Amino acid sequence: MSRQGRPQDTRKVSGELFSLTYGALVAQLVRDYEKDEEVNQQLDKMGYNIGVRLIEDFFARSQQGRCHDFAQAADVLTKVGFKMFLGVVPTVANWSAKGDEFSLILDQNPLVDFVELPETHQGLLYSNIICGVIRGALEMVQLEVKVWFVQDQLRGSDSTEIRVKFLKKLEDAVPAGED
Amino acid sequence: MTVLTNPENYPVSLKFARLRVSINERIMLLSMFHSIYAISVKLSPAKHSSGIQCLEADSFKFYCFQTITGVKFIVVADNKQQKVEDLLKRIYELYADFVLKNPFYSLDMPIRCEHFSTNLTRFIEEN
Repeated sequence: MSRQGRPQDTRKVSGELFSLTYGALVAQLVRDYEKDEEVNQQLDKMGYNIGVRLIEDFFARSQQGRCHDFAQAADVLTKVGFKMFLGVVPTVANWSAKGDEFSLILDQNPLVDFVELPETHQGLLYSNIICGVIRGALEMVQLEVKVWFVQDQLRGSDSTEIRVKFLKKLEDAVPAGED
Repeated sequence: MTVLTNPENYPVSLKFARLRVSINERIMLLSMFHSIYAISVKLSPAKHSSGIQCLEADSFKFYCFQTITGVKFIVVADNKQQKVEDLLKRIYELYADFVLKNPFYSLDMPIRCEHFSTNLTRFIEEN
């Protein structure tokens, strides 16, 4: 996190506080909404709102340019984006034959360090906010995508896997001069 | 007038400046610029050209920086002003920080964030 002339950078929040905060958020949502599906939807919406703002921060801080294709976008998303904000680099795998879908395999997920899902909420996608963030961020660079959880370690699978599918390029939103 | 006739207020300093353009006029002029920017891309003989980056006039220069997401940052500066591109990048960083991270700011609305204005003025004064 290096940026010139920004005095606040010396403050860092502990990762555990971040996990705790997110946990409190999810717990509150679970209390507010009865069904796990609704909580998942809310998390996705919140993630979307974060994503549309986070993308500008991403560009302001990295010197990243526009990606030429979806594969490059996947690369930049994992190696630069995830690294910058979550400190982990997921693996990109399981590309579809057409090259329009891929999976992100997360070995470590800083959001779920101390979390165990109770029996009553096995349908809860605890880290669904990440799906929303990816969707929001990519929409701001004119890529409409569908993002969903395929496997979740919290729900008993071996690994945490998020699938990203390219839907379409939002041609009318492309800023003038960018192709 | 009462201020001027009361000797206690002396010395009085008067600052004359160009009448600022009203917000609505500003919005109208900038939306015209948005179209001109798009036209400039089409006019370019080279493929994949960017839009207007700098407009030079007698007494001022007009700089524009467009981000990948389509947000345009515009600076009107004196002819002799250097390093305006750095200023534009810094404004982008300040925007990403103080405007976007403000949860009460809605996207595409006029920016009324004090932190943003204060930090921006501070940066301009320091450089």
